[in-house]
Amino acid sequence: MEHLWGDGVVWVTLALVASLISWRLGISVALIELVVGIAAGNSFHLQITEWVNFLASVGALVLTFLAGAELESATVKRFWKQSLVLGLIGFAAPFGLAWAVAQLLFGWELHAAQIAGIALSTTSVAVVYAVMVETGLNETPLGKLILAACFVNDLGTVIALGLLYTSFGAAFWVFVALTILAVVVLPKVTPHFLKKVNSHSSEPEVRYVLLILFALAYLAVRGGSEGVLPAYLVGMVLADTFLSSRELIKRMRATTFALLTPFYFLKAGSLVSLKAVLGSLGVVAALFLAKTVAKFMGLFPAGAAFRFTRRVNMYNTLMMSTGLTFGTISALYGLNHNIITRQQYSILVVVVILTAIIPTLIAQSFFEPKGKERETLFVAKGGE
Amino acid sequence: MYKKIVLAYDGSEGATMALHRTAELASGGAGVLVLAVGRIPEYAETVSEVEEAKEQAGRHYDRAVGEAAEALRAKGIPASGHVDFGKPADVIIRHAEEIGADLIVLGTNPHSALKRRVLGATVDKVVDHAHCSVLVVRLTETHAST
Repeated sequence: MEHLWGDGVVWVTLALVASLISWRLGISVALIELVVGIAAGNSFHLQITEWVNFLASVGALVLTFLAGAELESATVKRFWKQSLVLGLIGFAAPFGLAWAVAQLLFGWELHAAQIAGIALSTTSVAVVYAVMVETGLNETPLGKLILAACFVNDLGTVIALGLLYTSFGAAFWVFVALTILAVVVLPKVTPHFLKKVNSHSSEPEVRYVLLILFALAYLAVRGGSEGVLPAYLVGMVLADTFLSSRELIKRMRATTFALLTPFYFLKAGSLVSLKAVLGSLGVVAALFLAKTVAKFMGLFPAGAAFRFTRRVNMYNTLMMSTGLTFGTISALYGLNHNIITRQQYSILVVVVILTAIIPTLIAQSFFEPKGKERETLFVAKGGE
Repeated sequence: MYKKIVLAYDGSEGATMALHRTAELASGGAGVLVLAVGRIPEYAETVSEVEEAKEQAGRHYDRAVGEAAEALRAKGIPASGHVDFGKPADVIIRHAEEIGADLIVLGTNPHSALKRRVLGATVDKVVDHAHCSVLVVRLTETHAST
């Protein structure tokens, strides 16, 4: 017991420090937790115990669910063609190029190179959304389209992570069948359940969501897949229900951010070896370029086909080149399953952090649509 | 003399000084937009994290901005209040451009050199990049202590 509390003090101290730095600098706590985790992991021996692993895993699961639950289904329906095309290209192009660069240029094993492809195929809806709010674009058709495309992009990443390493045995098909059942039934059942329990102080809604996530994650892992896949899918189908229950989202967020995600991001950061990164700066640069160049080569022509103006097209391309949460989840999955080495993991996490920051800065500094450009898409699509 | 003024306001002592100065400048018939800028987390983890930060900042600034606008209206100055989110300098400049302001007024509170360097200075950015004149109302130590 003594060790448990001692380790707890260390981890929670780091979580609090990250929270205070985030509050002071106005930067997301997730990014700060990663950086604090990197600093701690490279300064002293941070004990990653079973309970830390459990909290971190649940953190990743609930975070993925919340990401899915933030889908604006009306926006995806409105811009389904553009969001589907941009989202699929935004996923497939960097997935392919990063995989190729890792395997052919740097000699990574096939599966390790695929993890590089998956980790760098992502975008970040939340990072993009924060920028949109800052610039006021979140309420414009352009902003909504970019966000919808980011959702589709991340769905591609989650599906790839959930399916690429499975053996497609009987247990997998049981998982698929029950996930489909959940996706169909939950949107019908959940509103009635929420209405029935009516925000009781014993938090039945939060426990209900956790039960669904744990059950589907169990089935996913048993079937050789990954728990984040059903978590994202269930989040997406429950998005409209959650949209009308903002209080529930708040309570889930409070639970998740206070107790779960700090362990996830601190752990993800602590496993990064700075020595390995410093010895592989060329690989870091090459993989960063692979992601951003692939996004550019894929998304820019697609945007041009949709008649985006040059500035809007560059802005969209850069926004969709961001990445954070799913990038680290994919890399950590690879490390946990011994698909990638600690060195490869360290490289990927650093590249993911860079992709959260650099494309955002460039987009905001040089390509932020101004004046009439902010409504250009609306006009270009004939009032759609 | 001025027609449209943007007053960057956060309810601090420096901002209150700027409010008084704005009232003097606008008494010639200018309209005033009282603007507060709430910070939201950069590189966010979830959309709801951003939404929650917006709500908190909105709650914090709505009242301050409303009271400042009301104080100006009580002096016969047409004024409206608005709370927006993002990097303060960028948001102030954007709103000034959008309404075609011919003056931006900011209050400033004394910061240590280190804090100014680490956190960046909103005033510096607005002065450098605004399309119109900028008036920086400095909170002197005498005022700060009163």
